[in-house]
Amino acid sequence: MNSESGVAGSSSQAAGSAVKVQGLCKDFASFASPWDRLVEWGTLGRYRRHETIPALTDVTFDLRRGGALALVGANGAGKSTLLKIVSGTLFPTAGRVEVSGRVASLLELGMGFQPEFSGRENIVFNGRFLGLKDHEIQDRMADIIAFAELEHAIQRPLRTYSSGMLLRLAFAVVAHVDPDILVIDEALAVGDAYFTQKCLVRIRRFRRDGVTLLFASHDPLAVKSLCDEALLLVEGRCLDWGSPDSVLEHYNSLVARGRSSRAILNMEGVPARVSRRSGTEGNSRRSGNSRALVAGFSLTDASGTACRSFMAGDEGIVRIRALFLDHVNEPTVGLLIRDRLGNDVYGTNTWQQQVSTGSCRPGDLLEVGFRIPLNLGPGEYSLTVALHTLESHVHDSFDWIDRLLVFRILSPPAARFTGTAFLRPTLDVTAPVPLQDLQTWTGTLTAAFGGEPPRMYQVGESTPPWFFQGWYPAERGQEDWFAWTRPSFGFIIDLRGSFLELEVGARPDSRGDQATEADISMGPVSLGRFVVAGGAGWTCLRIPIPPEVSGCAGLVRVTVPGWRASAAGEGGDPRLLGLRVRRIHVT
Amino acid sequence: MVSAVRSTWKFLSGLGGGLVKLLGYRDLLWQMIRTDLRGRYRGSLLGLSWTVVHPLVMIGIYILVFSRLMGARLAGHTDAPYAFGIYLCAALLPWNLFTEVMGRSTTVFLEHANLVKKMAFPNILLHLYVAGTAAVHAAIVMCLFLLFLLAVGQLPPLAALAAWILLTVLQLVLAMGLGLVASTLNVFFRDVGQIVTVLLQVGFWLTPIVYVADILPSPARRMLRFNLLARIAQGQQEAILNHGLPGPGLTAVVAVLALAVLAAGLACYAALRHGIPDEL
Repeated sequence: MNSESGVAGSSSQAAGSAVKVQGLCKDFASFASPWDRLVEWGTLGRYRRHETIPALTDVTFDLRRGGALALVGANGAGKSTLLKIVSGTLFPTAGRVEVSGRVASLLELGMGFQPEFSGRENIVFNGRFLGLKDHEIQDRMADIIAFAELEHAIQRPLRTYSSGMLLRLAFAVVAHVDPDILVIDEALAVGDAYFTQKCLVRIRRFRRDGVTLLFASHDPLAVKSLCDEALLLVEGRCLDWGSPDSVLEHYNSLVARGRSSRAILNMEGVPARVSRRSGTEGNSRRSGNSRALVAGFSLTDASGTACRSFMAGDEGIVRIRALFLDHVNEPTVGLLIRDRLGNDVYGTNTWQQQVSTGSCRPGDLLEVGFRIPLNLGPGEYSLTVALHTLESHVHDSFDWIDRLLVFRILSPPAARFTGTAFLRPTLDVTAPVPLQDLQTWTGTLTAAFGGEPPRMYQVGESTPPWFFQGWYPAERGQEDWFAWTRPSFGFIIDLRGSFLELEVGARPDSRGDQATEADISMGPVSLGRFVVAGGAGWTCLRIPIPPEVSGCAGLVRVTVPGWRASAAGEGGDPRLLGLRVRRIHVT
Repeated sequence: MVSAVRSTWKFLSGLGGGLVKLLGYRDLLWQMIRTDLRGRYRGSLLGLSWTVVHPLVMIGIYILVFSRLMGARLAGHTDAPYAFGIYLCAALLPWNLFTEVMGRSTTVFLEHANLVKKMAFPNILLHLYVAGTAAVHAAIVMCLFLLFLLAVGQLPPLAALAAWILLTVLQLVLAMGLGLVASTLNVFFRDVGQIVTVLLQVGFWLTPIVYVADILPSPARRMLRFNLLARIAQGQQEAILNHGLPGPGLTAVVAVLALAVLAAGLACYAALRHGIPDEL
């Protein structure tokens, strides 16, 4: 209600900075039970009964106007808390936050949506929240709906929307409020690849227009391509602030160190979440008769550093350590890579690779390494490991751990692609060469369209592919089908004959004397200028085909002065029109 | 605690600027009220007409059942056929406004946690929205009641009407103040919502709305003097039924107390508001 005590919206300070954060701390108080709170409040804090959970500790940064800062850090590092404080929905415990300009934020999937109301009403509602006036919302409504691609669902209540649709709506609203500062949480991660891409394009345009961006993401590629600065948050503290590359490198090294410190003999133990003792949920991920157990594993890059993100085509090394509790002759050690949707992408094992594992006695440790060129598409993949006998785990499964770990493949910036396979094509392109003469046109066109072009068209219900450019959909007139064209239109026709006949009409208006002149040409050859009489009737233009194009197939182009029915006061048709066409014929 | 005092002081000292800032949100407030009015009867055939049908039936039942069927008569008004119904409505309609504002305010942060957590706006707007929506409903009901009074030829003179409305507005202010306290505390202690429901029910029977104070034993009647809501109700009944004006003393006391409660509510909200989004 007053100017926020910590979040000052004043525009006077720091002309060059859009967001200035100084010594920011945020603690959450956690009470074990409401009685504890009652005791503490009742004694005016003399008896402290709460536990203080520091979410942010002494965070300082300065984001200049038009800059883009990425917050990098593990889950729970305080990224979301920081974004919320900058957005003004959470209040800092200590420190200063100065924000100058209109902030639009996309926090945790959407905004204050009302489930009972339609998409359209929610746009109005949220537009108001973001400070738009009524007419501004109405002006942008069509754009917002189009951007969200929700034309079909916009009248339905929001509770019927999927989370992807909610995200699209939320982003579309935010994208149309002209923010000075755009705050985006990891929200974009839930969208499908197509929409995420669209959002990124929009965000780039915002950046070009000078909008300041504050962005939290796990996606190193998005961080690198969108932001010019990054801030590394670890357990609520700012550990690094600099270029995205150096900060991401710092982050990755921390991640790797964090893993290896927990590893035994440079290997990681099986995480508790799939442990056999962790109850039913864990058991569903792990199965087997325990004659042998997976005792350790590692996923490293070619140099042996623990790694969870690779560039497509990099080499990854999976090492699996098995502990045997029983005599097993020639055990099989295998792995399976699955994509995000659970499709098997690649799986193999020592049996299939015809590698001998020898005879194992109880207490033996066996280690198998798989050196795998990760020729995979960008995305997240899971790794499943298995110990069994013979070819597959259905025979005698010792230990099977589903989705033991998740790793990520990034698209190489220089050779982007989609899909799950990295096929490394080589491309060659010939320079564009114009067709030499009209005769070659005929052959090429026949090859391209899979047949010779027709010599006669009667405009019907559908527009044929040979109607090349400048055609509106056919419509049904009083007697016959016809199609309106743009002022310049073309069609592909086989000119074997002596005359090209065009049944066309000009404006069907009262000023019937208004004739139109049409220029007709084929490639470089002009077929002449012809007069189309005005009025509602049809004119049959009988055009002699000059010898140099006779026998050729090609693109005939017609140009007439354009006009608009709506501008001429002849009904509401807003299209830019040329001629009406009913029939085209070569005789 | 020190920080709470400091933030209260900052809040209250910034009240003027805050009011100006709130003004900037009046479009949004109006939108929320409109949305609520339309949303309540969403999907129904009659839509907004229900806002009139409901109170119409309510007033009709009170007046018919109490005055006609049960034949309740009011001492001193034995000749007036609708006197008891009118007596009832004079204080019950404002009481309903009071209850609705109190009740909905108490849970407003929890109900709109989504907005509080995700949108940056002065959260006190939610209270204005609750009060505004309830006031619109109450205004419709009260207009219908006045139309009825006009129809039976018992419309009070303008001064008495004004007094009735003034008392009702002060009652609304009181409800907003109490609602602010309750809603803020309710975020931290969810029991508050239950306590408020119970208190409203007890308060309804501690206030002579459906009964006449005269039927109480005299010690109890003396205790009524200390019940602000009873004083307001009696003032409203007096204005509508006997066309009598509340004394300036009573009006002043009610006004001062209502504003004091509102200030206390604001102070309570100010002291604790920074913790609200953390708890939702």
